[in-house]
Parts: sequence; C-alpha cells; structure tokens
Amino acid sequence: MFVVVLTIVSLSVCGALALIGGALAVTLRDPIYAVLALVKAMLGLAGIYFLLGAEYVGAIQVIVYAGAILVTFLFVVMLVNLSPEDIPPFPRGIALYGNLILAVAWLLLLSTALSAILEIPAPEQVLLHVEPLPYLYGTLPPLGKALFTAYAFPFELLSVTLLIGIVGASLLVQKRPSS
Amino acid sequence: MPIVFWLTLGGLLAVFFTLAAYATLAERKISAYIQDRVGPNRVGPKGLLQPLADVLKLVFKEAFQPSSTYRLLQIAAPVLMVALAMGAVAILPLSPHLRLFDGSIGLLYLLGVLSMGVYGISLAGWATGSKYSLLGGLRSGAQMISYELALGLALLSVLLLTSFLLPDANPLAPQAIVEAQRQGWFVFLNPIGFLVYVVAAFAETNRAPFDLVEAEQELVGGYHTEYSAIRFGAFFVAEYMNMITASALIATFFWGGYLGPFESWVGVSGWPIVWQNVWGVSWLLLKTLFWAFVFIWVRWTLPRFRYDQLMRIGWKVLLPLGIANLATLAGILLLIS
Repeated sequence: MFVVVLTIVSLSVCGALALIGGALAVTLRDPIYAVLALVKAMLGLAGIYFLLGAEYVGAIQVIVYAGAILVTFLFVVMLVNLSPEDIPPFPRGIALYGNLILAVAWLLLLSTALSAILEIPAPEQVLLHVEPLPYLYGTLPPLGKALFTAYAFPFELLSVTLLIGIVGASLLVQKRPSS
Repeated sequence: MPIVFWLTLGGLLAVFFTLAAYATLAERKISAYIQDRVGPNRVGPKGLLQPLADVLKLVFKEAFQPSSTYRLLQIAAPVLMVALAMGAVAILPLSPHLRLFDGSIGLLYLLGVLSMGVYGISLAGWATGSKYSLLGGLRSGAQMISYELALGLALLSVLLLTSFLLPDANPLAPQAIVEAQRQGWFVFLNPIGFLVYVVAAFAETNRAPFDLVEAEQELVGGYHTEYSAIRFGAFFVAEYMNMITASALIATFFWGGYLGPFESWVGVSGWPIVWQNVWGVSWLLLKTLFWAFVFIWVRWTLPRFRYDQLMRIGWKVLLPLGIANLATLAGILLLIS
C-alpha cells in the first residue's frame, strides 16, 4: 500500500512539474526564468519515464534535453542579454485561445482518467498485481535491437527531420545577395 | 538489507565530506612543499584542524549580496553544485557485496548528473550580474560541453571492453565494469582510453591546467567572484568533492576499483563478507587518495593553457583520439571473437 501511494504521489508531482514548467516557459517574460522553467518541465518528464520503468529513456531525457539542448538555450539567453523590458507582454488573444485549448485537452484527459478509474476495481489491486517486468525491460539492449532491426527504416527516416532542421537554419542565416 | 543500505549511505557521505574537507588542507600542504614553504601549521597539531577553522570562518563571515542580482538563482546555484557533487558519488561500487545504486542505467545516471553540473556554474556566473562572473560561467559551460564528448567516448571504450569480457552482465552497471577488470585492469587493456578519460576528467572538474574558468589573473575569481562567506564555501567544497569523485571514478573505471592486486593469489573470495568489504573499500580508498594527490600535483606543476589551446585540445586532439581508440578497440575485439 505504501508503495502504491508513493508511486501515485511521485507521478502526480512529476506530472505537475512538467505541466507547470511548460506553462511557465511560455508565459514568463524573463527569458532566463523561461529557460529554467523548461528545464523543470524536462526533468518532470524524465521523472515520469523513470516511474514508468523506462529508465533509459528517462536518463537520455536528462542528458540530451536538460543537459545539452537547454544549456545551449541558456548560453544564447546569457549572450544576448535580453532584459524583461525588451520583450513584449504576452499577447492576450493567444493567451485566451491557449487557455481554451488547454482546458478542453485537460477535460478530455480527466474524463479518460476518470473512466479508467471507474472501470478498475481499486487502484492498489491493479498496481500490486501487475506482472513483473521482463528482464532488462526499459534498458538499452532491447531498445537498441528494436531500433536497428525491426524499426531501422523509421529510425533512419527520423534523422531526415534533423537534416531538414539544419538546412532550414542555414537558409535562415544565409545573407541575401544584395541586388 | 535496508539497514546495510543506510549504513553504507551514511558512511559513504561521512567519508566523502571528510575527504573533501581534508583535500583543501592537502592542497595547501602539498602546494607548500612543492614551492618549498611550510604551509598551514598553526591550528591543531601540524595544522590538522585547519579545515574546521576555515569552515567556522566562512560560516561567521557576512554573506554579501550585490543589489542587482537574481537573488533566488544566486542562492540556488551553490546549493545545486553541492547536491550534484554528492549525487555523482552514489554509483561507486564499494566492494563485491557493497553498493548503493543498483539501477540498470548506471553510467547514464553519472552522465546525467555531470551534464546538469553546467547549470550550477553558468547560473552562478549569470545571476551575480558581474562581467567577470558571466565570462567565467560561459567559459565553464563551453569547456564542460566540449570535454563531455571526449569523456563519453572514453567511457564507451570501457563499456565495449566490459561487454566483451562479461557478455552476460549489463555493461552499464559500474559493478560489471569492475568485475570485468578481474581479467586485467583497463588501464593496461585500454591505455589510450585511459589517457583521454583522465585529461577530460581534469577539464570537467575545472582544475588546472584547465582552470580558465577562474583564472585569477584575468577574471578575479570567475563565476564565484561576487560570492562570499558560506555561499563561496559551498562552491569551494563542491570543487573538492568533484575532485574526489573524479579520482574515485578514474580508480573504478581504469584502475580496478575495489580490486586489489594479486586478488586470486591472496584468496579474497574465500574470506568472510565483512573482511571482503574492508579489503575492497580500503583499495578503493587508497586508489582514490592516490588520484586526488595526482590532481593536486598537476595543479601546482603545470601552467595553465590558453583558451584557444584548451578548445583545440578538446576538439582536435582528444575527440579524434577517442574516436580512433574506440574504432581500433572495436576492430580488435571483433578479430578476437
């Protein structure tokens, strides 16, 4: 019972971290706090992955997103040295639509969760009688095998999106020929 | 079992803090001997209580805070540094039967903790709003990101050897890395990987000859220029904790960790578990102390690199060397199997 409560509480805390962090990253006007809020969101997501048993994905989430990508964000913010006054206030229209969409999404999510809870006899029974996870579940060896055999084509295809990003970035910074 | 866990945790933290505190004294004493001085010798016999006096002094000094700062971030940065420095030590296997961390991701946890360390320093540099601090923070961030790649490549060669020698074990577990070294320490099997790892570890801890981050002649104190009292003390302690952790990790990944020399000849595996633990912890401690000494020795012997030299070593020497070593090692292992 203790483990069940602990799991539910930890999942809720991580989920709240991710949600609040994401919302703050969009709404905060001070860029450095916005980046830090995004770090918080990433760490919350990593926590959820860990609790769901996907330890490898959680670790990579921390190393790649929180540890590498957002550090470069932080660098840019520090070097550009924007002050909060330089940034226009959050546009009201977008805030309104954003809140509406968020509310609808949240209601949908809540209804799904509620119906799931109503169908299940009791949460502790489900969580206590889960089949034990197979050996090495959520770790690197099975994931690597799956990625490079069964899912090799989609995996390689995904890297094309990175290529598109690089081409797009070099196109954006390219100097227009003065005519 | 939980009692053993809590005892191990408490013991590890106690030893770790003591080592970090006495590393400051060791640094001052060894630097004094290298420079033909005496070093601190007033507090206690031979100056042995000096760390205690230092801590008391730092606690009672005024924690000055510049007015134009992000107050919250400025206080959070040193706390983050100490927390991460303590977190990295958790993956050390202390003996065949004694370890804290048993997760399947092992080394990835270590890499995650290391990569979060950039935040502590760069936020400290940013939050104080001083140009010196900002430059120090930026330098540190660029340096840590550059050398993390070389560090990762050296670790990959270690994982490759581990999974070759112990095909059934999860190579990401630090315990498996040490057990694989029963057939030969990795410093002998993988000398180039060892070299790359040691240089990258020196750079990751921001110590000389890679201490551009707090180069006194250029940046006053670097990212902690505007820090004083116990908040400065936190950075100071975190730096020495990182040094001890880096030493212990070098010992674990390349110098056989808790394995002593002539282990099978002495017949350690037949001993009672308690004595096996004592044997393992003692060897790990001895190797850690040796590497901590090397860290201090290098700092007071080698001059500092220029910043362009630092970047060139990271990207044009260590990274290609690490890749070449990994490819060669993979080829050799493929030929053997």
